[in-house]
Amino acid sequence: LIVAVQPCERITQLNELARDPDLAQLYQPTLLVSDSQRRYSSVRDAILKQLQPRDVIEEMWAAELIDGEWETQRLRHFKSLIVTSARRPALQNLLMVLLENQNSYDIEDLAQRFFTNKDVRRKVGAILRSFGLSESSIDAEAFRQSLGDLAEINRRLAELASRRDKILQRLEDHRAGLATPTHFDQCVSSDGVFGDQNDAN
Amino acid sequence: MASQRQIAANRKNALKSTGPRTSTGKRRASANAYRHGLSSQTDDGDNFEAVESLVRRIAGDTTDQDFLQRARVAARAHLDLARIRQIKRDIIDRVTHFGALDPLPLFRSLAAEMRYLKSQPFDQPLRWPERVHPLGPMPSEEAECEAEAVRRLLPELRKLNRYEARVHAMLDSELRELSLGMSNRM
Repeated sequence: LIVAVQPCERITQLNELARDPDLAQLYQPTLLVSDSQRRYSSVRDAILKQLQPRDVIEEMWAAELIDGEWETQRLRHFKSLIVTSARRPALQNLLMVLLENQNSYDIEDLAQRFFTNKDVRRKVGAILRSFGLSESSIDAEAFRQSLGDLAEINRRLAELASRRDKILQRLEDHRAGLATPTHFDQCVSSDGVFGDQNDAN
Repeated sequence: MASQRQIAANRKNALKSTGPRTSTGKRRASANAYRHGLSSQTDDGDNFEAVESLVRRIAGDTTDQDFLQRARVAARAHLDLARIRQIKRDIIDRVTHFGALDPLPLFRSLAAEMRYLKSQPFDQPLRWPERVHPLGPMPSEEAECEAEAVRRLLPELRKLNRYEARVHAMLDSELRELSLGMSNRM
């Protein structure tokens, strides 16, 4: 967060909108079951402390920033969980390739028990080594299988990062009294020079 | 860029266009202005108090109709974003619990269902097979289960994110104008 905090006597109470009975419901955090309320509160408080919203517009921007930041953290965590969950099907896939003549039920059983049974783990380790592979090959395969999902999540993360930067820029402009009308962007060409809208077309 | 001759030719050709001719085309064109419910800006319904409260807080005691209108659009967009977040949370919860948004079919086709029925003994009560999700069972750990739910929901979430991006752009645009209005009044 790069917005400079300036001392200001007009600083509103943090989370003022959330205290409005009509708006309380709106500012209830939308957490999943596995989300930590404590961590959410610490993220929210850190952002509010940094931004110190001074009016309702800044509070609205801050609320969007908080939810965007929380979604970002959650998605980053989910990315690693998705790859972890893909390890079993990844191992099954690897064993299918390596043990062509083996019964598919046996392979499924090996892949299932690899993560819970030490003997099976040793046995599978030996199979992998006999083909010049190791357990890291399972991680590589799991990552390969999850690439599509990870790319989709990365797109969302990039979108959230871009939105965060935009909001911070708006906040800076708002504080400096430099807000520009929305049609301004369309009037500025790619090299930043003003031009007639018709010319741009 | 089109030359003057091209522009003139385009205008001449455009005069030949008289709109849709077939009944199918006319029916399709009649729906051009159709808007789906999520974008509706006419009825705040249950959110009326929240919208008005937010508008009052943004606009203060101003009577400037343009400012008030922008404050209302911004308030609706802000509330819409909160609603989208709730919808996302709810569908993730649903898939976390049930493995899918829609009920899973028992059989892949009618033929498979007929085969199953024929294989069942007539002298015993009919036992339906277990519903098996094509994407496999959900993980047992809570966080892994939610991560899996998000993974399964990525196509639906993409659509919601697209809608959310549009609402966000609207909110951004209105807040910029409101910010400008505020600095002009100071």
